[in-house]
Amino acid sequence: MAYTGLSKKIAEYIQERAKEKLEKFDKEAEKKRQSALSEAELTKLSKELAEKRRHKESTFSPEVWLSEQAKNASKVHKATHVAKLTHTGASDASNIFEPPEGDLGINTGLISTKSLLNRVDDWAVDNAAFAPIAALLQLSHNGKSLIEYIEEGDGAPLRAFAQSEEQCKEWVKQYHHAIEITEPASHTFMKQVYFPISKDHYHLIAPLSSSALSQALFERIQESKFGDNTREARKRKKENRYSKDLVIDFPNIAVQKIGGDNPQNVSQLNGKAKRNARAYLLNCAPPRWQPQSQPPLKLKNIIDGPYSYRVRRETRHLQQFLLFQVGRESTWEVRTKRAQRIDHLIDELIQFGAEIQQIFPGGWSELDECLLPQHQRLWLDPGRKRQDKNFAKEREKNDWPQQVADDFGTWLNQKLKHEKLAMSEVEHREWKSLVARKLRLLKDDLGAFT
Amino acid sequence: MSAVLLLRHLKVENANAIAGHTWGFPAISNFLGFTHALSRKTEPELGLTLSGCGVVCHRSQVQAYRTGGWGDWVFALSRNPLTKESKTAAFVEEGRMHLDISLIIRVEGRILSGDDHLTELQNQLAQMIKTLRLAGGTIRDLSSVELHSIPYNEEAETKLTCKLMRSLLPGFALVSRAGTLAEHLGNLQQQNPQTEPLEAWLDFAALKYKAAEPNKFSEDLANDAPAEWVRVPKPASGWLVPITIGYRAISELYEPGTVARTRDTHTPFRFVESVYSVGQWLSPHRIVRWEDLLWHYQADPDTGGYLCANHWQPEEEVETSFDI
Repeated sequence: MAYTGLSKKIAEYIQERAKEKLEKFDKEAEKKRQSALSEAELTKLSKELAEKRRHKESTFSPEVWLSEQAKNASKVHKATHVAKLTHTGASDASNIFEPPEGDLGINTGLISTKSLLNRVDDWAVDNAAFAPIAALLQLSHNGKSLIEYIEEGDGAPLRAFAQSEEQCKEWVKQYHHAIEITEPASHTFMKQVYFPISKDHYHLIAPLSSSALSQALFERIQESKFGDNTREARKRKKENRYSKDLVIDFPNIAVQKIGGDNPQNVSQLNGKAKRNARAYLLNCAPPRWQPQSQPPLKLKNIIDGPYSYRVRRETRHLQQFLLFQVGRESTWEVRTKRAQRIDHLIDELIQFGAEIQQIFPGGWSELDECLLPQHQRLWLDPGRKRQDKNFAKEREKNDWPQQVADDFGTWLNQKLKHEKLAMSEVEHREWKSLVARKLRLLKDDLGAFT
Repeated sequence: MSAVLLLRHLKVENANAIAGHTWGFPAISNFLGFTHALSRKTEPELGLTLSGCGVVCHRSQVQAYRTGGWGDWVFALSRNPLTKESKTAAFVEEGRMHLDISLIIRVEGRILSGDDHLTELQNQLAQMIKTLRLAGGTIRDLSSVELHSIPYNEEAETKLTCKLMRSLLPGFALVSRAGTLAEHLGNLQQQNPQTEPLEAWLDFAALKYKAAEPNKFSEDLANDAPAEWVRVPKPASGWLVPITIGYRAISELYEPGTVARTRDTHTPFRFVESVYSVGQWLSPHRIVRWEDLLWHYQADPDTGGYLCANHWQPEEEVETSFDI
């Protein structure tokens, strides 16, 4: 019988499945025949195998196959949020499909599944054995998929295979289970959190992992790593040649494996063809440094020493930034960015100082090995004031913040010196004034330490 | 009356390092939950209500590694008990981390004056805290508990803030930059109305490099022209990170008892998904008002928003030139 449109695609799909299964059967049958020991056994075996094959073939007649799959339609579910992504043991927990809406959540500083422009829908499967149902429902013709017909209650593509109108209607009803939530359910393995609404009034909320968002992130990160354009652009970057494309890096990504050995048992997008059990996670950790293990002895200048090393990358970036601006217009934006970068360096200086102040018990600056100038000792070893009255008095005089700030200024200018950075008179004055302003603030900040 | 509760150097072991699609620090909702749980204890026993929580992270260490020392991070997993069939159970990956943090919490209630009372109160709080869990991890140690009453005088309050913030160094406080994200998206959409919000968010997490167009005029920018590659600066300055900031409803609000296998049968139930935004790890000495550090629950069941909000705003860079 000649099928048309979507029905044709369905028939083709069923035939494909049949072919696959029968080929597998034939291979095994051949193996069995090979191991037959005698003529009699071989004939008997052949008869049995032929019988089994006929039976198997009949299960692939469209009507039978469709009915069989329809019974299990509730085991797959079209979803944007898949329960088993949270815990593979959470079978029977509801999967949610959120219809895409026009509003992309503009003007809010919030990102969620609603923030995706081209969303890919996922199909949660209870077990990979039911994956063909998902595949069947996704078959489409002229831009309309079978599941869309089912959603509308239209059984037209299936009519060609059904024996009667009732059977077709029954199929539509059964296949509809793939998109409706009949009985919402959660699971002990799912996260369920109480969220306070008002006094003694809570809502119990159960977060589900968004497969749609996971897929969008995955695709972008893969693109930045392995995309064709990216590869070309990276090559050019290495060779310092021009390219119109950007090179994008996502530093410190973590990969979380979902579903273990059988990722297709979770959902279609999680399977081997797409994400292959991986979920990419973006880093949100606070800045971390190697803590100082020794008090700063045998050093002549803490700033042009361990601190300088710690901020070497930022200073290099600041220098690059300034070099890049040479010959270009100095806009308010550029000046702001420059000031912010200096702020950042100052922040790190204060953090660094605080670390040293706290980690080592007071008195280390008294040791012979300490070669730091007095104002740096006053800054970094506040604990000493308990034992050393003179030290305490000197510290209170508060001359040292200015001197430390001056040290910083000297170090900064020296670090940024570059033949190409010869500034004009005007620029030099501006730079000096900016640095002076920052140093004043730094001095106040340092002095505020008790 | 109001007071500031400061929990110094809370050492947490095996806290959850994964928050939605981010990793490296527990979601801020964990800390709000901790504060809420603590409040439920302090209210009946001490007459104190806690609301709002700020986090300062001193040290953190995630149990993750990179194979070969580079590339993507992978989580180090724990060995768990075998199943009934004496086989290893299927892996469900978890991220763990150790934390050394301090929490700043707002307290309301009657606090009797007098040093003895204060010490007593602080001890009781310390005892309660040690029994709680935080972000899925156990609390190993708590350096000190401090209650500071908030002075009525604004100047004195600022001085108190200054002193407290400095004492929290070295460390970084988490504040919200949701406004910056919205602003950045607005800017992008002005240039291209079809910009996807996800792109704007990823701009804060990505490092971008572009080839600077050579200064010399070359009409056909032959793709072999030598060029300098520079970093495209991030949309704003500071240690900005993508963070999980709460939840958003993806289903209706179900009546209690209508959903199977829920934790209890008398609370309304709802399916939600994580919502993300941008946050900043800020050096505490930049905080001028201590309340700016606090995060609060912000629930709006009608629109389906279950968020955590923080009201810190970045300072405007004041441009004064030639003030030598």
